[in-house]
Amino acid sequence: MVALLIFAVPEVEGERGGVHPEFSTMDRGGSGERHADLLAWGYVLGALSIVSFGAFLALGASRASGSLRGLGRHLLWGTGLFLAAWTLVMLAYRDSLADQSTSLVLYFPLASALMLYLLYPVSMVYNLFFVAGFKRWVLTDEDHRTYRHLADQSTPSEHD
Amino acid sequence: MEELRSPIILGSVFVYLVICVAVGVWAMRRTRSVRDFFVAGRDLGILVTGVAIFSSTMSGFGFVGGPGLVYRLGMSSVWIIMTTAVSYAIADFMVSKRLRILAGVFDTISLPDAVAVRYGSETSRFLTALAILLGIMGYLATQILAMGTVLQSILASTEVFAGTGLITCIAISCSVLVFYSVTGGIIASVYSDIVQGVIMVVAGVLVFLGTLAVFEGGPTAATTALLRDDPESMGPWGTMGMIGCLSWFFMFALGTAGQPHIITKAMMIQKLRQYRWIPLVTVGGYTITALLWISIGLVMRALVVAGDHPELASADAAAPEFLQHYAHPLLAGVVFAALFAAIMSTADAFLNIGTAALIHDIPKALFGRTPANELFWARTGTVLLALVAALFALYSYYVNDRLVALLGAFGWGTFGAALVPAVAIGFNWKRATAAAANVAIAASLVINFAIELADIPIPHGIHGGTISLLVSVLLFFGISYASEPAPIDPRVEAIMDI
Repeated sequence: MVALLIFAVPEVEGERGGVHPEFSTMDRGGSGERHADLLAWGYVLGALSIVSFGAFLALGASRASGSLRGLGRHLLWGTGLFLAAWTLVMLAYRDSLADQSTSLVLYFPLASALMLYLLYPVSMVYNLFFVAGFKRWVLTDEDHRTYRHLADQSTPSEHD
Repeated sequence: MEELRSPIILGSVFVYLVICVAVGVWAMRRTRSVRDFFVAGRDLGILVTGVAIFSSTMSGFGFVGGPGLVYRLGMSSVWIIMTTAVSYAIADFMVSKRLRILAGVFDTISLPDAVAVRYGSETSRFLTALAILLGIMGYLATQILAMGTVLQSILASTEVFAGTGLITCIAISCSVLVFYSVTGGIIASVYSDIVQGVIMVVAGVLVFLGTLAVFEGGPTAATTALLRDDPESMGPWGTMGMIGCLSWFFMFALGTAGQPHIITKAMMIQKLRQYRWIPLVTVGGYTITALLWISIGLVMRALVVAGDHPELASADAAAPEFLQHYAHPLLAGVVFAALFAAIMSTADAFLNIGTAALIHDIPKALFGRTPANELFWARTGTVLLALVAALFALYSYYVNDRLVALLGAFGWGTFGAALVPAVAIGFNWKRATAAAANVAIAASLVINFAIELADIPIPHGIHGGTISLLVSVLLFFGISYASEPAPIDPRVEAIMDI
């Protein structure tokens, strides 16, 4: 996907913004039109990133047999929620390109407000899984016994 | 109160530095072995470990560079903050537990130690240590230069110390850093992190509340002014554009699992089960301190575009200018102390892992053993490393800033690209081989150097670190699948099954 973007999609002029015409120490984004042809690419890139985060989390949580002991289902809906929030950010941004209204939600334009107040909190769902499901998914009593057994064999001074 | 601004700021920084020295003296009594020096005797509680992790993550970059980036790019750099929760989750699920278990079973005291145990390869140990050493040098030099520059700007506003030179300022701040890092090793580092973390959280909240009242008409008027000047700056992509922001999102979210100064803290917690509560401290602490990053940057940009404040000399002046002109003197004192705290908490962590690489891992990889009286050499190595980094910082300031920029690029992206495959994936995937880990580490170093040296422009503003991370992950999987499965130590295999 990234290789395709680099080699097959030409860069639009002003896509990365430029120096502000009045203030040399800041940049200016210019028109939102710079993203018009990139919206689909951006959406897929963001979605793939989120899916890859879910996959990495699943790899980290998986056990000897490859089992996730029920966490897989939660990771799936957590990632789905993350993707849904991401989709809302992108839809709001797409709509903002057509509608130049400057209405604000908690001091920010809608797309940015969704990013700060929805996308970010939703991403905490994984931390919630870690904390709330620690004894089920991260370190079960059996895991802990195995660890103590290994530690006692190697370094008897470990008392954990 | 206004006439006392300079003495209050100087006094706050002085008190903070004295606390650091006191922590160093206290920690010296608790540092009796090399295990104490590098992993705090694996005796830390939940709060100390959690605060140490988030305050090491939020460096001077977050407190000075962060507001500067928002001032310059609008909302673009907020994507770095957006990764906070998911990046800590990935590091917690993939790395922290296994690193702590490896430390408990094999008595590992550094990340290269753990890598060597996992792959049964001294070459992997050497390459990991080399990547760490190269990575920390630019970071450390930048932090030391930042400490000197900030202290000089504080002293410049006083009558008595106005003419103090940069070298003197670097010498003063570095002496404090080296003192507590040498006497107390990582114990002093993590307990000073507690002081630093608390100051950073308080500063984050107070500055955020302070910025709400700075712009006439409040935050809504500030946003309206920014939208009138450039609607894209307040959109989700800021001025930098969508693809560049998303490349940061990917790199910072995955890269945390490869940051040695962050993940090695997992080896220090006393009880494995305590790790459960760490995300509450790390995600909460970082989120609160990031308020300063966003709020100062946006307010300063709004003030400048509205014509209420002259244009800044540089984007990095956003935080100092805000403190100078809009913060209550007491708040400015707290934030300047927090600034020192943010810089020092990262610098001491880098000093410690760099010393471990230099004194413990490289000799072990090359000669099969560590030096006799390792604690003495660890302390000596800390001084040497700080000295080299300070000279390096001065050289870059007075002679050639390209060198630090080059090694500075060996920061987050390189650590991520070099260590995410070998550590985060390799500790969870039995099919991974030592050859794949070695190639991934070496390739990421070469790619990052090449991109920076040749100044290769990447289309759409994609970050070079993202490219090297993707390439190293692909190489890691490809080579692992292409090579014969390697036998794993049964105990390591048992740990990977937990």
